[in-house]
Amino acid sequence: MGDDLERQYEKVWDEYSGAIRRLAGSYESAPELREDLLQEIRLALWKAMQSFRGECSMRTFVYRVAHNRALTHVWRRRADTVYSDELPEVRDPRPSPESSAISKADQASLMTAIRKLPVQYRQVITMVLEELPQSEIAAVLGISENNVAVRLNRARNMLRVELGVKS
Amino acid sequence: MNPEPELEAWRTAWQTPVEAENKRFDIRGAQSRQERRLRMQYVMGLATSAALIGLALYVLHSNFSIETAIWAAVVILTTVGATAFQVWNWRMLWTTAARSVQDYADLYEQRCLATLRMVRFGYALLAVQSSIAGPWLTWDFVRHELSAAHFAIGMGILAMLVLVFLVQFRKTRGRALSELRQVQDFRRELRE
Repeated sequence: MGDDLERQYEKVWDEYSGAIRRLAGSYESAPELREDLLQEIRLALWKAMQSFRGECSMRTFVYRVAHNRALTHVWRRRADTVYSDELPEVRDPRPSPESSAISKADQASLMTAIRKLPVQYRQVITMVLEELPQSEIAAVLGISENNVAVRLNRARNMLRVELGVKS
Repeated sequence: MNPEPELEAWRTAWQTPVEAENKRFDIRGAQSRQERRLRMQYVMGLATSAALIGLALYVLHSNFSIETAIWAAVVILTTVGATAFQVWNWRMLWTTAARSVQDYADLYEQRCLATLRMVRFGYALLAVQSSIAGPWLTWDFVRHELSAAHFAIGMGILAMLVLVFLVQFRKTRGRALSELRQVQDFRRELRE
């Protein structure tokens, strides 16, 4: 029983570790804090898997645990997270002449830009980038699909501004 | 610009693998699993001690003689000694105030060291117990208290038990050393 669970956990971790690592990166920029968060998520996942009864898909379950743990981590650290539907202030919204989405969107700058988004938009955009369908994102976050679409739209607009891309 | 290629570009950038970090040691998960395993062993150890003491008292009560009294005293004393060591050695098993990765690594390391200490104690206890049980059986055989067949069976069981414990100790030690190496590599990796 314990060995089965451990095997299942290892399998799940192998499958989702990349996505969870990126998710941790979207919350924490400092390597040590990111590592802390990652370990917290791993532990939370290990504990939660013991009571997982297949009520939803494993992917939904993993993302739900990971996002909940990330939120707890952020709250505990009293990070200056913005909870607002307004667009955040930006440094310089004018794109440079040669800027384009692709040239700007290397992983580091994308990660930095995503980190600046309010949490509710960050959650949606990171899951979209992980190729989760809107219905699954809605299930992970416990919101409606319409709400996901609205948040995604806002997240993309904010991200464009952060990356200095013309819309 | 067309929004879908934009999303695809972001997706490609987002999913680019980052370093070789995925293999990094899962210290909290490992610590949690280690704790579960050690607590189970701890409880089983206590239950075995209680059973051994109960057995010694039962034998003493149902078949009292000087020899059984000495035997029971040896069993009870070694069991109490082993239990006292166990309680002392694993005192950190119940205090988990770990918060950071560093705390978890410390705790994990302490428990690996406690396991190694337990193995050393186990070797010593096994040596003491077999050096009592072996001569005792031989003495009984010499005094014709024990038939040759019973003596052979007794020595066979003793040898088998010693072998089983030696294999178990070796396995436990190997695992603890490997866990210790893992946590030390992890610390090094974190510092880099």
